[in-house]
Amino acid sequence: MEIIQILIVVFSLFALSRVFINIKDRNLEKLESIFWTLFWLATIFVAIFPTSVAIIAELLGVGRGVDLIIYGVIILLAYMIFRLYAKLENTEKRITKIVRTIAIKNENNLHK
Amino acid sequence: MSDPHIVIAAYNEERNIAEVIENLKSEGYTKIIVVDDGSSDNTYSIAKSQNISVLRHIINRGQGAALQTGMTYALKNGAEHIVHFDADGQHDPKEIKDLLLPLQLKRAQVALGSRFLKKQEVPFKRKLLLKGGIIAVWVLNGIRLSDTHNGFRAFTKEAAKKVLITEDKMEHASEILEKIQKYKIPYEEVPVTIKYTEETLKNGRKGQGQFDSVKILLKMIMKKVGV
Repeated sequence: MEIIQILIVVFSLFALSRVFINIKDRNLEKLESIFWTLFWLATIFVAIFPTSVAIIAELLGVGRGVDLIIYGVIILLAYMIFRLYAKLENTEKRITKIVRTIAIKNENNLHK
Repeated sequence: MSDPHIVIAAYNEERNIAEVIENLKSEGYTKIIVVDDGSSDNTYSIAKSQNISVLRHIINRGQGAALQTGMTYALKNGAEHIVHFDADGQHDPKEIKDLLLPLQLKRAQVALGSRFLKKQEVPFKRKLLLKGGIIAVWVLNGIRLSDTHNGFRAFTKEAAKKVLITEDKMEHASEILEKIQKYKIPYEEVPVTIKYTEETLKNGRKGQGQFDSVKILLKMIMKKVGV
């Protein structure tokens, strides 16, 4: 086993422990919990058995296993950034709503 | 005719706000609503001492958000007509009645101020920027106006209820036009003068700078393609 494989496994275990902490604290939805648990388990599996990706890559018509992983990760990251952007916009709108409600409420109270 | 509610969004305008309010008062307007958008200077207390309605955003949310807060408040207080008025003294209170005229005659529900309908010198750089905005709105929203980014506007209460501003920052100018188009609200352009002072020209901080215009354009396009 190469050093890089060990590093990936160790990091994935750390990430997995973070996922479990967040599940315990109920910060993650059910679907998200399942997704992240499977994601890091798969990462560990691939790190230990790199040839497994090569087989899938071959099936999909991608030359090398590593290429498949890079494509997948880029797509996943792009999607996550989009989700974050949408979520942030939504949060901004909600903050405005709160600020507006407070502003109107305070002014109304002054005139009571 | 009922007294229109004048909505002023103010962000760090302690130097201008008192004069703007006094000028409105001397024209006989009494229903003045200042929305202090989380200013860090004395805008709030200065406006408050003028004995008018002053609403305060506890944190800065942008001009669009502040205008909507003022509109919501005006509607709750039985406004028939709502006027958007700038806090920096760019607009002439004498022209409010010109904006209200098409609404009172029931020719339109929204009156949009236009600086290009009046013979007036507009600084070249400003003109370039504004003409760009006019083309962008024409292409993206299908409304052809002579001035798309003029903050001097008037609404009937029916129109104000439909045009709910959700763009907190400067994109609200385009958003209002988009909603006018979407809900087929009858509108009219009214010639107004914009007073350019050294101060209003260098006021890039509020989203009027060239760089912000690019950002706004990008956002408008992104919205069009459904991002």
